[in-house]
Amino acid sequence: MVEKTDRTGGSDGARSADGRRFEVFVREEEADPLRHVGTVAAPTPDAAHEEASKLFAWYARDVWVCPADETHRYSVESLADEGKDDEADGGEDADAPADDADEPRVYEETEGTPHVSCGGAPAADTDGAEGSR
Amino acid sequence: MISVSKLLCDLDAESDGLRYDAADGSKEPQITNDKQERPVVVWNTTKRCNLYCEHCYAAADQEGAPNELSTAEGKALIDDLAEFGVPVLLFSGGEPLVREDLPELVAHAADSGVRPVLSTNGTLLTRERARELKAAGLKYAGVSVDGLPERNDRIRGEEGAFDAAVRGIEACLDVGLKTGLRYTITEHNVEDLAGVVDLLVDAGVDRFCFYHLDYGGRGADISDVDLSPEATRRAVADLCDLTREYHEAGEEIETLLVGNYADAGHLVEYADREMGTDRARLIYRYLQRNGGDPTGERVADVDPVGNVHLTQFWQGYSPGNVRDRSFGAIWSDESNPLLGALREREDRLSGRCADCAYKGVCRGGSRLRALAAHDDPFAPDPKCYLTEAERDGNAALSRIGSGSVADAD
Repeated sequence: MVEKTDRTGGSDGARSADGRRFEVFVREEEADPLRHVGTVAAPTPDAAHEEASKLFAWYARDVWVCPADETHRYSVESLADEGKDDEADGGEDADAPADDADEPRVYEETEGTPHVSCGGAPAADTDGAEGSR
Repeated sequence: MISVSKLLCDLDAESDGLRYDAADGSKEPQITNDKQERPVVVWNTTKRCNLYCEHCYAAADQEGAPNELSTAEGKALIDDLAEFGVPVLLFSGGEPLVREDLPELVAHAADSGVRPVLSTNGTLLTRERARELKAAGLKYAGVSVDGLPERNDRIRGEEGAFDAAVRGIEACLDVGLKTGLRYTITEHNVEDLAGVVDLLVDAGVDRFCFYHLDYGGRGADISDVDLSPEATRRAVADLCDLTREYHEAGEEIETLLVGNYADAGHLVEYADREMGTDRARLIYRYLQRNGGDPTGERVADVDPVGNVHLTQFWQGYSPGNVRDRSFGAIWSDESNPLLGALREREDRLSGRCADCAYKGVCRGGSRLRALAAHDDPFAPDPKCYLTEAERDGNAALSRIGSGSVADAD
């Protein structure tokens, strides 16, 4: 029995400074997995598909779009824990990595723990391991 | 960004090392002696602004965006950028001075080894705030002015904005904070360009940064007042003339162009015509080091809620959000097909860009304008203003010769 990955859902909330945004997923060939390729600003799913098609039409077989604000994200890391705001603004250790930031993620293939952090994007296991995110 | 004064008048500037890898002989302190490998990052710290400019790429307004990055998140972002090796962080907006924590964020960047600079409308820059920002480590404040008083105030949506911006510039100069002008050229203000330079040189400004209109945010709504190719050509030639006249008169102003890499080819042609082929050859070499349009490579943007963008103008698409992954992880992820393709764009450019003789120093110009005009990020930039002969290599490039320049290709 291995310890399960501890993720928090702290990165929800509005994801757009300019109207509605959609998370975009594309698939090149039928046998390929869907790949998260970012977000587009668009008022409707059809408009989002149109925007994504301009950017990935030369690549994608399938395009899925999902309202960014309705996506619930769970991750082992966050950019900055809101609960640490006071400390981060004034404490001398404000910008130090969280205690467990350098701990390797627990991954148990047999239990099917998904090797993703959010939105289908691969987990950052190098650049993201050092900071208080 | 292309330095007209560097290329035409040999003016040293602090950032030449970043742009041209040409700092070895410079007497000026340089940002870096290495060729730029990491992007300059523009951070739109807030969407809130006290003005309402007609061309604002960020579509800034009186209200901020919901869920903007907090102070703690901003500091964590800066840590990410420092870790990734970002050389410069440009605090922008909206109007960044409406954020009360701006000096704290600037200080954090300076302490982290990321050079902090500011883009502001200048109207909130008092001497006190300029002094506070300088003490925090701010290295430069670029103040936006888009015409002489009447025209500027109309474009910026606020009577008195010009005078307030000039007061802000003077406040920076008074406390010893390097400052310069930012000016977006359209049909609405092209006639005022020389007058604004004259006026601000008298005020003590020596750095002038001119932006071509890019079609992002409200800029897309006014593409009909963008200069025609012929008018753009005249405006850039006039700026070259103006720069040389100032230098010949002993006023070593720094002039820069941003947002249309047809300028690269045009500068080579201008130099060949006005200053001789040897100068044109030298400029071509510098521009090769500069690397052409920087979209997705040498410039990046983070918007108020953490979305990363491929340039500050291209807000409609984001490859990721720094609340999900570090900036470095997003920027390095070339499994993103668009990011990977932009970095190998020479192979994908189509139409007249595909066979252009200046492709090596331009790289197709604005991919955002191509997308806006043709629904295709690899189509030609509609604002290329080079002539057919220039694009075919039958003008200056034919005189520069097939020797060193061709070898350098």
